[in-house]
Amino acid sequence: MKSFILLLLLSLAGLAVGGGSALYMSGLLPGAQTSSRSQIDVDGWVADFAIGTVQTDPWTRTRVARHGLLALSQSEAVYFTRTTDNTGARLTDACRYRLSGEDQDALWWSVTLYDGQSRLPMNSDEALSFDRTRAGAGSRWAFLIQGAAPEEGPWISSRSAGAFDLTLRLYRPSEALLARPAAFVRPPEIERLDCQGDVP
Amino acid sequence: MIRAAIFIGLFVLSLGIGHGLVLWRAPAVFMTLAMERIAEQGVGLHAFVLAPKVTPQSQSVVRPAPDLAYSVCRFDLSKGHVLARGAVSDGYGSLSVFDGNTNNVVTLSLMSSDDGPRAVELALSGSSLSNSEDVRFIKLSSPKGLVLIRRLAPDDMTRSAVEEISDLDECRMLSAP
Repeated sequence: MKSFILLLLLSLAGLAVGGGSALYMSGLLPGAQTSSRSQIDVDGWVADFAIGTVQTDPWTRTRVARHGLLALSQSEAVYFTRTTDNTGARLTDACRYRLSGEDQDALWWSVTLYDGQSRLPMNSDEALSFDRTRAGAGSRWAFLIQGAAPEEGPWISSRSAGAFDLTLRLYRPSEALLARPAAFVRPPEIERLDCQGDVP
Repeated sequence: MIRAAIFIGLFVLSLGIGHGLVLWRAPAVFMTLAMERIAEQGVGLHAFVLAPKVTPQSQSVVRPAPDLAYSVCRFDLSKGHVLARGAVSDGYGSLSVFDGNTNNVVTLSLMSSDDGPRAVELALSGSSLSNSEDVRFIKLSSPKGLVLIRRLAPDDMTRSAVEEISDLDECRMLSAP
């Protein structure tokens, strides 16, 4: 009887540890680091071109199901995410930033801010994203990321975002960009301007 | 010694089963929860519904793009084949099918500058289907999923245009095969 109980407890513990390790390797537990063979890093902007396809490894598929459900496959769109500024510090609503860049080798692109829960931040500033129609085709562009509207110029509101990330969407990317992203993606630069209070 | 080996073996076996079980089921669970949330927001089966403008208050899935307008159709192939067709316009538009395991099974262009089919006929594996010029036939292994139309709508003017053209989108169940 004692051995049976021990076997039962060991089985339950194994199931729990196994399930937990799957969630950890998928990046769904706090502090988990994620990477996959299909992951691409262009100057801190990270994408996984296998998203949305049956070729995706099971850990990436689980992570995307939680944080990027209904993402398109790479021929239609690719998604680059950045979590740190030019100093390597975590992006946070306690700081102001200037994001600048140039046009992308894609039909359309946009930059959107999401909070730590992969949601749009709960504010009513109506400044959630910046896209190619505002930047102008072929132009260099820049905008501010901060908690209140600037006196002039485009911006994205980080109010109530906490620690946040930015997603760069490239719709209908060129074949050259898909084949050689490091050469054809033009990664926007994120300059930290100043911060208030304690910055994590 | 043998007893210890049995205990260790059982633990390792359980660990592997738990790991695999979570990876196997988690995407389908997240997809089911998303489809339930979408249904609660008034999206019935086999009909496109243009979602309200994406705002922090209206978001129903993670990482919505606020520059896009989304039309959603939920389908259930256990009741028969489903046809989904998107209206064509000049701006960016696409029709994409997601199965119950989160896979983006197919995406069609809805841009007037592109050629190709603008509609999909969906059926369960084992059904008899063949492609035509106008319709892409897709077989799925699970009965439930979503058809999602994305259209570029970064401002009020393009949003109004999308609201008009989305009335022409079509999602309906065909007669049972």
